[in-house]
Amino acid sequence: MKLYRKFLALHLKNELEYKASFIINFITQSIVFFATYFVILSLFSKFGILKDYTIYQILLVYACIQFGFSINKIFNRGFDNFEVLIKNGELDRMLTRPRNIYVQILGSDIDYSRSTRTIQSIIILFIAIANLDIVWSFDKILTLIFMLISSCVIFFNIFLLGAAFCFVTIQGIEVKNVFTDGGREMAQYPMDIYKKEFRLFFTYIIPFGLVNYYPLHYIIGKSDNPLFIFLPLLVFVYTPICVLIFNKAMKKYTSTGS
Amino acid sequence: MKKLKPYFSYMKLRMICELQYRSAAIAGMGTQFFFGFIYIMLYLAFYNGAGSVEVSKIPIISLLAGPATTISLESMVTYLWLFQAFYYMVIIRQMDNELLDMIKNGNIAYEMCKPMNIYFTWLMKILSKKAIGTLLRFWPILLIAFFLPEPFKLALPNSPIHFILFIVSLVFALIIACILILFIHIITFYTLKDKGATSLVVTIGEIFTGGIVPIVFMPKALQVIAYLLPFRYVGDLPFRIYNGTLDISTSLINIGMQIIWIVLLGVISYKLMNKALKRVVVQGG
Repeated sequence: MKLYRKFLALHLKNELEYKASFIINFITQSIVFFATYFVILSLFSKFGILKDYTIYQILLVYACIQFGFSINKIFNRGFDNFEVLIKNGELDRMLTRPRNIYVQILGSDIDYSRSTRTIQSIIILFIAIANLDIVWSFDKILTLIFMLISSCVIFFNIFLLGAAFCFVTIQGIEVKNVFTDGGREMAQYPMDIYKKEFRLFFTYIIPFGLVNYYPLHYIIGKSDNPLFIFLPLLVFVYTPICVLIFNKAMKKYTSTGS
Repeated sequence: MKKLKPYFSYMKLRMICELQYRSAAIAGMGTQFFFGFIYIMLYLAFYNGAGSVEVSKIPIISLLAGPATTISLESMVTYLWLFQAFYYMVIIRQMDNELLDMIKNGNIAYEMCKPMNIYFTWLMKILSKKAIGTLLRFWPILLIAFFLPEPFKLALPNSPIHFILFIVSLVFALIIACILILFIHIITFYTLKDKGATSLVVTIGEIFTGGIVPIVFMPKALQVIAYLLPFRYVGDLPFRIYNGTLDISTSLINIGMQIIWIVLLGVISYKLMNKALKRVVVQGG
């Protein structure tokens, strides 16, 4: 009988340990969720308004950028952590295989645990939409879809460029971080809150403005220029350029006989 | 004093090691500048032309938080630059893989055979990394920020006394940051595979250290929580002393609190580590 009681206690302890871990992880995830949007929530509770944007308008674009970034963090870790592939020789091994190098790099690391950020961004997106006074017509829905897609594509381009940079120098990691993490932090707010030179660079050269400014204005009704619906798609134009740069950098790498 | 010599030699050794990562430090500064500019422009947009913003007094915490005051745009810009310049010092998301390995696979037994106290050895390791990393990074950022045009300019401290108090609080902030990091490592003795608990502490810590949002701009309830936790003494406090938004008497009280937290956190983490190490011995390691 004593043995059986010991078994009971053992199994109960097992259950509790699992539960404790689960609860802590759940709390942690919720707090991380909160932390991601903490800055914007805090500052709006203090200041009430940003230039002439309300909090839900900002949350709309914030969520779109978070969405694109997190999708890349899940599926595009190969290019994101490209320096690792170079360092441990995995890239060289990939190059010897008779398969497309892009498919290999993209397939090298897929991190589904990052999907919590994506889910969070979708939740925030719905909250923002629910609180915005928008008449959702077909063109506006289309604009939003284009915003989400172009957010994914622009970060794909930047990750690709960052990986190309890794061929040039290992210290390029920091430069890459400026445009991935820095780009995300910056693009979460519509481009017009920044100073002129910044704005110009990030509208034409690294076209965040096409993703977070023009379509946003169309959706929230600040503009009814139908061109704005399609401007986000221009980020696709940059993709072949980035591909070209990456290919050129890789050619140079392979030709140095590694 | 003779007893402390091995710890100081160890610290010197670690510092020389850390100097090897100079180039990473230089590269990292670009990131700090970029973020500095973004956040300053964000605040410029929020201030929207206003010279300063009112901050009301919160009675429960007013002993530490000070009276109602105004936060000028200039002092906010200064705060943000200080945060970027001393970023390497204020982050507590700095797990040491060597130490984590030792904890996880029991190689700590080798450390325990050495004649030096593990707690202080590890503290020296963390301290030397942070100190060198910070020293390499902070001055170019401050130097350049000082010569930027308005409104991006870093301001001088309010008065010589404020500056001295700033230095004192900065040193204490460094110590608290290192003890917190060591504390988080010690927690992994107890949680091993489960990264949830440490992640929780780090995330909460990052929010309440200040940073992009100084504690004065947080909602009231969160401010009260911030004053119950040690994290604000790592970043928010020294930078507010510098930019003059805390008067001298409040600053002194807060520096006193820093000392209390150092003792409190130090004692608790030391005891927790000893308890964990005893378990290692008992399990025949």
